Amino acid sequence: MKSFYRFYQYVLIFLVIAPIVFLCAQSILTNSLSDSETWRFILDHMLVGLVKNTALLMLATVFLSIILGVSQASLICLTNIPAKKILHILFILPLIFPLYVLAFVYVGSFTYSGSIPVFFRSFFNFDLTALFAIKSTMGVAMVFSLALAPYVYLFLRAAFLRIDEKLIFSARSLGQRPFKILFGLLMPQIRPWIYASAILVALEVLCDFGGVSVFNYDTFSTAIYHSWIGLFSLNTAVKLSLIPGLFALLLYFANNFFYRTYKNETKLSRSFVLFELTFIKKTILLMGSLSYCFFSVFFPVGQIFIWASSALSLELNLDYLLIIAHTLLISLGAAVFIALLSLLLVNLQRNYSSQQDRSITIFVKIGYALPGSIIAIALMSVFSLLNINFFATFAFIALLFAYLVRFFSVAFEIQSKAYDLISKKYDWTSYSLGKAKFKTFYKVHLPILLPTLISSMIMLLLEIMKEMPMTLMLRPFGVNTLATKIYELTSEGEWERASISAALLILLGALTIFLSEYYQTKKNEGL
Amino acid sequence: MSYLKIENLSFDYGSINLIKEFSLELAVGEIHCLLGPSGCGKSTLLNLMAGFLRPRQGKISIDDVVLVKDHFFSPPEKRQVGVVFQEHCLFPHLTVAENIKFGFRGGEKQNYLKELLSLIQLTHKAKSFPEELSGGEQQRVAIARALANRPKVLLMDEPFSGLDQDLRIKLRREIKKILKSVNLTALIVTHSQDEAVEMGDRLTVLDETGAYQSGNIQELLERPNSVNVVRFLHSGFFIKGLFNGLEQRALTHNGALAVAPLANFKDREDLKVFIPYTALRPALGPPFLQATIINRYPGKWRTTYELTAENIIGDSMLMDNIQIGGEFDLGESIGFDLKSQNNWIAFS
Amino acid sequence: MMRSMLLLCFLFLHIKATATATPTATATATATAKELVVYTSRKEHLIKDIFQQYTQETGVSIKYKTGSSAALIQTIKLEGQNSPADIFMAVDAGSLWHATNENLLEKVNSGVLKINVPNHLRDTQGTWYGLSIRARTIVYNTKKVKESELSTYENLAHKNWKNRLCLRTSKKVYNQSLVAMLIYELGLVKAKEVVAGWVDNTVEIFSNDTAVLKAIASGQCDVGIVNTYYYGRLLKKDAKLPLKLFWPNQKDSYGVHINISGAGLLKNSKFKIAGLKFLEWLSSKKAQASFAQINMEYPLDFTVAQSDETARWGKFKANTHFNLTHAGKLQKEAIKLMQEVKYK
Repeated sequence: MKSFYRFYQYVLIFLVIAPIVFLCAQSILTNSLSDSETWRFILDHMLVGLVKNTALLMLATVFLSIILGVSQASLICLTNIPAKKILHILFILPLIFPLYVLAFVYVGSFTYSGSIPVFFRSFFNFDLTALFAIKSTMGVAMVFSLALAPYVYLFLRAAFLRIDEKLIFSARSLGQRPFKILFGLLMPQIRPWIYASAILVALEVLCDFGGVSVFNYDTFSTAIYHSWIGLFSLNTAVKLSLIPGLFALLLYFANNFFYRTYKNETKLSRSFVLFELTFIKKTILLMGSLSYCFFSVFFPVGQIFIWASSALSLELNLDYLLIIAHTLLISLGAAVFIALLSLLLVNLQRNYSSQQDRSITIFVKIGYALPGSIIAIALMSVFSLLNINFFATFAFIALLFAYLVRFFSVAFEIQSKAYDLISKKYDWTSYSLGKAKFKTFYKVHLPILLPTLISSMIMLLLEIMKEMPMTLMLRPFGVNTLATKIYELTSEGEWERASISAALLILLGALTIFLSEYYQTKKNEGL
Repeated sequence: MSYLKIENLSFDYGSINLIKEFSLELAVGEIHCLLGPSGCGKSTLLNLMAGFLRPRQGKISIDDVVLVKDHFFSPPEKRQVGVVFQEHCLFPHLTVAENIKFGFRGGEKQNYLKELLSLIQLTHKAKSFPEELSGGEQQRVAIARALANRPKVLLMDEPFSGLDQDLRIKLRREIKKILKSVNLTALIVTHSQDEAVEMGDRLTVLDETGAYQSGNIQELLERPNSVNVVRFLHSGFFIKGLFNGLEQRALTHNGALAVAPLANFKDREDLKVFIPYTALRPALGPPFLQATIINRYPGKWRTTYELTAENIIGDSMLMDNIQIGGEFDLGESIGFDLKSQNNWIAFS
Repeated sequence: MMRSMLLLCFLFLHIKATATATPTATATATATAKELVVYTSRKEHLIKDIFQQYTQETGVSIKYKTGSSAALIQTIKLEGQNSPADIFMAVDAGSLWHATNENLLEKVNSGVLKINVPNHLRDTQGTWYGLSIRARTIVYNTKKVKESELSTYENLAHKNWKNRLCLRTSKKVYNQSLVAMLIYELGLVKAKEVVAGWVDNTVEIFSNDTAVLKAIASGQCDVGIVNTYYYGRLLKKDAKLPLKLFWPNQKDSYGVHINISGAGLLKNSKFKIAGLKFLEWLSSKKAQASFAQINMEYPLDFTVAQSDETARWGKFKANTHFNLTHAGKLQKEAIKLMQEVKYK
């Protein structure tokens, strides 16, 4: 069995790495004249600007997201603010927005001709865009952080919940004031989680393509896309993608260095309060949170539905049913497929691996760091090399593989963390009672893990539904997902028509979030 | 007749040689306690026996059935060795009854479940979930679950840690009763001496270096085979002595003492002579040893005194009021004599 | 779990259906095709109806795959012999030129196409043919600009227009073809001056034409350059917008820059005869009306009845001596030029 584990691990790694390595090798080794020219062109004129832009955007977004996430997590976990359940849902709701949807809502609304500046001009005779340009670095960072703060919030909330109450009590008994405890005692404790979420945000920004193109903000991903689509040099695009790709790998290593799995699940009780808020403070903070939620949830949702309703008669037709069906089928099928493959690896790892073995799994996670279009092309190249006509015969398989490469780590991370929470002693107890490894998995692990498993599949589902670049490239004939439909329409500036698909997507997304939360609470009750 | 046989077991934890050629034999129905400080490998021994870990070398057999030998390794699910961990590890998604039945082998009847439940006195909680039970109740269920599998040997790793004192005492007596009633061979790891002494027919004291001594409590207290055993059991103290090879005696400040021929000491070697507390009695005449009380700890049944004396190795001695023959105040000085003994144990 | 299993089954059945419906690679070129496959960067809602019309008339069904030109070209390249595609359709001459450059398109010799498609709107070697025309022209805010102020593309570089111009990004192929035309007409140096002047006068650069139009209408800027159909679409939504098209370079000049939406036959197509028939049909007057009108573009033949909207924009002199094949040939220079003058 151990050899099967090894074999399985290497097969997975191979599947993920091979297409990419192949593509990179091909791009470095085979160079047409025009390719070299284009590469030179990019190097001379664009590279510095790209690095600057991308770095600035990453830093700004990470900074803002961390501030938001820390505040939100502290608010929910450490204070006695009312309506915590509702606030919690509101804080994670932005996950339903793909970056590119939030981008077009804000760009469409805040450019000179958008609804908000028009309002300010007509009522207050005030040019809002003179004060604040939505397409500036800060503008992009702010919009991105609205969409990405939930990740930080979720990470930090999990971190806070692991803190031992007694630590805080002893600090208080020594006379320390709450804020000092927060910054002096708690923050250092949750540092690994802060770093991990910061890295996640940075990676999302690095890989995003749809969002920055709406903002017309030049980052590596737009340059990669442009080299290929605009300048017709795939070669250059691939070379360019090596840079963020390698950087992303670095971030991954850093992440593993910082993040340690804490085996003990000391739970901060739900009623724990560090900051006792007065009525006034509660009101202020509540208002503050709601204003934030206005920008992160209510306004985008509202704008999308207003736009969508204005385009209904023009755009809505039976095709949309098919699009929804395709979106659901593809995402569901892929989510189940990936979750199962990941579960197999996680289980095998638990039983057969040592610490050193585990570091290899970093390679399986590379996929998340790479731009979707590159993964798509890599797969196509491999298939064409093997002379497989995947579009006709294996239409869906290529897309499935692409999703596997890209999203395997999402499932893997969630599952392995949940699995690590089950102490090995449970396994041992089960063995000592006569149950071998598979029976132990089936009778002990699975029932305990099921809520998390389902939750991981749901998160996976959400990510796949939002995915656009790979789906755009690899979809079978006549298949559209909501994401590809949005891209098609936003690239023409048709915000209103795009909003119909966007509305449907966020509805589906909201549904998945609610389901996921439901299973999370079920799990908490069960254990 | 040895039922459980461990022979020359060795195990490395990373680069540390944790278990060094450990050997032990248990008779059927014997309750054996493993005692020692944290990190010395007690739990590792249990894990090796259960089959959760694989030794570098050694042999383990139960009832003449070999479990581990050279390249042969029987996996835990085949060993019929029951385990109860400190964390009890009750499956949270199963009720008490389901947890216990988890260990049932094929063909076990419902009756047995009833028996076990009444054995641990939790029949009324059969349908409860583990989180609804108290610590003591959870531990009892864990034991019942292990018993349900009808193991040949039961291993328990600090089963009563984390429970309050009264409960510990109550539970260990109950468990001993249960074990004896089914004549189950058991190996229990604990760091509580009281527990080890009360529960165990025999004990093994293990130290960080991997050295150990097995035997009943009397042997361990009076004839320790290493300084660490003495230290761990607080069985006595040491005085300096100069070895006289010719006379086979150690010359101490307080007199000459015959030394047991335990080891080959060199002439004029510095020795530590072991004086068990049980060998002291209040001096009637000129004392062998004059000790001063430096600390006094009142207790429920007795008062513990910390004393210091010249020429003892180490800081102090710990004795109770019975041993020193009465209640004294701080700072008081007491003289002690040695009860006569043929020879004394000494170490290098 | 059960439900996802069921859905998975449904999914695989659906895919099987899709898979079996595509043409096999063993069909010969002369066999009667019941189906053609089109890879198109022209958006779905602009081609569905006309494809269906063809099916109704001839019984040949059209399967299509939409995407960006580069992605489609890459796909065709990778698929090689196994490619199911017969026709490549794109929305700019520059893109079609790339397909030719990659040796993907078949040189077609068709009398029908030669007659229907004017010289300057098809590839010099016959690898692709334009099927509808769009103009990239000046649009202005009627409240802020008098028509008399406007004259040529070059004029927009003049200081008069400082902080009054809005442009679409240089990354879009439409602008690249426009600049290619300027290079062709004015020479590299002058063209560079013009574009630099544009950049100087620009208030903001947008990622799409509709945003440019909205910016002009709201008063952020006064003039811009857009494709005519975007103008048409926006006005359809709101006829009250203060926007009007202007046709530059009419007097003693080369005329308005036009571009095409066009298509070509793929070398690896297994149904070349049927494919060619389809192209010829698309260029025919019957199809032209729907093909162009649905997107408010101009048909290849200006004498064909136009939609009401395009008719209202008036007649203009188009640049007919700039063969659009050059749009592709000069694209690299155009991009380089735009980069040098920092046109984002």
